[in-house]
Amino acid sequence: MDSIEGLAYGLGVVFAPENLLAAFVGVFLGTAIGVLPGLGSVAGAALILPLTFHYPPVIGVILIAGIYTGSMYGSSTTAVLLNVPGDSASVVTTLDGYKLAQKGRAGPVLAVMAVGSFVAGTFSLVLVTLFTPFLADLGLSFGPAEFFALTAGGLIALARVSGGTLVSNLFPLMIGLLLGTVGQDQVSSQFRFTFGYVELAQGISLITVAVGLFGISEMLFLVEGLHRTPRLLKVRLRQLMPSRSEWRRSVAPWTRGASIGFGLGLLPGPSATLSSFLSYKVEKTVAKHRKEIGEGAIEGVAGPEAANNAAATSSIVPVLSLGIPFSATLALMLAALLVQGVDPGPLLVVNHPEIFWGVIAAMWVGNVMLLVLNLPLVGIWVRLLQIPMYVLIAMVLVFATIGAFSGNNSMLDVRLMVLFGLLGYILRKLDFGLAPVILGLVLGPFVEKHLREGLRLGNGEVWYLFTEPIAMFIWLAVLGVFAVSVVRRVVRS
Amino acid sequence: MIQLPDGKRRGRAVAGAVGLVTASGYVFISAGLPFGTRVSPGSAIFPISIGIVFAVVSLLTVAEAFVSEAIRGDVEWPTGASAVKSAATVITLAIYVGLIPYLGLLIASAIFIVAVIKILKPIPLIRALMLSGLITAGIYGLFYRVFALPLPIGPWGF
Repeated sequence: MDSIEGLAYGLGVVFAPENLLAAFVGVFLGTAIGVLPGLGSVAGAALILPLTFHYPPVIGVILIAGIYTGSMYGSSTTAVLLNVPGDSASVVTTLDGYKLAQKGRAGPVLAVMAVGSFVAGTFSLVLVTLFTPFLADLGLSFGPAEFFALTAGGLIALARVSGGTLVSNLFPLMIGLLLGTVGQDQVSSQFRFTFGYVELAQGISLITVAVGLFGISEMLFLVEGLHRTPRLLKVRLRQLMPSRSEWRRSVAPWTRGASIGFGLGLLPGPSATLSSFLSYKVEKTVAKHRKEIGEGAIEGVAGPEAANNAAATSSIVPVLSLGIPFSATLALMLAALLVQGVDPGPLLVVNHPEIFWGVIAAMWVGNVMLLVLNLPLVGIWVRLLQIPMYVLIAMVLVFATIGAFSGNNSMLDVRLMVLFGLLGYILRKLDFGLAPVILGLVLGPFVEKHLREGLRLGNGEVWYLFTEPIAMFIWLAVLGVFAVSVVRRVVRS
Repeated sequence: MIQLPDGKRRGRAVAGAVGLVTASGYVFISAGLPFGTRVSPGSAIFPISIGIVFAVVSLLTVAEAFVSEAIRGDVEWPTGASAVKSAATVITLAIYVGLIPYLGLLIASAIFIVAVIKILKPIPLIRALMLSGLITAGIYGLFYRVFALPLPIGPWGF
């Protein structure tokens, strides 16, 4: 089927009552997760993941896609109302969003964010619809050398572009890769690093690591900061409508942000965060009212919010068409498919069109739901922020325990979750990234599989992995990423 | 002896050193796995490769702590009451995890919630008990009834 037929088929899949319910629950929970301090989309999706194992894979993936889009909207809401970004992609939103909120324009800012996210999500979806089957076709010509280059090269490039120093990302990435080797070897069935624990035969659970690193460590950070109680700004429904000038000034930033977000979403890296920062920079350079940006200008919110939403939508392309996630939340989406025996990659569109097109359509339906439901529900989200922190922390710690246990029904996973929580806490205190651990854990087994297959195909010659034309192009691109950063450093110094 | 000027550098140097020890142990264990042949590599090849890379990255982490200007500042570890609360929360969490197989998830959770609330906020015990009862009932309804998850049960059958 072609792209248009595929999208129509996907919409048909999403409008099945159970899938529509999954999309609704996903965006609703996602927004709540984004609004509540501490729980980001990674820990949130990880907690929900075990619950999806009881349902068909399409429901699980739609649920996680909903959490992904919903949490971004939710975290931007707290960025505007509290000056507290729920995740790194919303940091930029605080700069102008909170200042506008203090001027009494919180409602219109939330409306511009929601409409902008919808517009950018739709724009990105149209391009994704056209682009994904093309990439999946290209992926069909990939062999072990190309997939090795994409997974290993992608991880290396990711370490370079993820912010912080190179070592700040490489160190946790290597921890993730080491953890990924625990369990039974896929090829020889040899047990590795299980130390006599039969529960570790299937490897260390992604849920355990994600919930521990992100959820438990964040709760420990919240315990430290309990005395810092933020002051809430109230928003009423009738105050949501932006002025004519605010609408007019938002259109161009939406368009620019959506284009930036779509492009960056296809590349390795924290695309939602990078695109929101880049969009903000672009608005500061080209917007008509650029001198007001930083002091409370609608362009400073409209552009970045459109950018991070477009990036969130387009970043599912590499997951669906090549089976390669470039962010921790998308790694969980991949895990949801793998656990259910679905192999993401170029053949997904042929073997499981209901998942492939269903998820793409679900991202758009999720955006519609965010627009239709979340603005009227803004009062509920604000009220959610009034849950006492001590109750929230106790609840999340229990939910995290249930989530870690129910992945494999194993108490060992729960004990490991606590250890990963402490590891995440220390890594964060020392400014190391956490997402590379998850990506290393998920992609490590793929890197090993493609490496071993490549060596077999190349008669043991390592060069085979680097000299196949597409693989060589990918490695050159990775080298290019490093070259650009070296040149930038030289120019700056 | 070179003195590291701030906490973050010291912390990262220690992390790098721990990484180096871990990588060495990891490579040592990996060396006991089958190597296979060049055409058909065994299960040792990938772990040994990434173990060596991890050792190099750990050394770079230590080196960066000593020479790079990009890493600076002190680590904000909790102090005073905040440190006590953090430590008490972690210890309570560890005890909770240890108690689950003996008491079952529901009872252990109910006790844990009361304990954490009392650690974090000096509210009356009766209020903490009521909050715990409400949350535990919610957990029972959602995870035991709606999702029917096979969660750990205690000697009383729940």
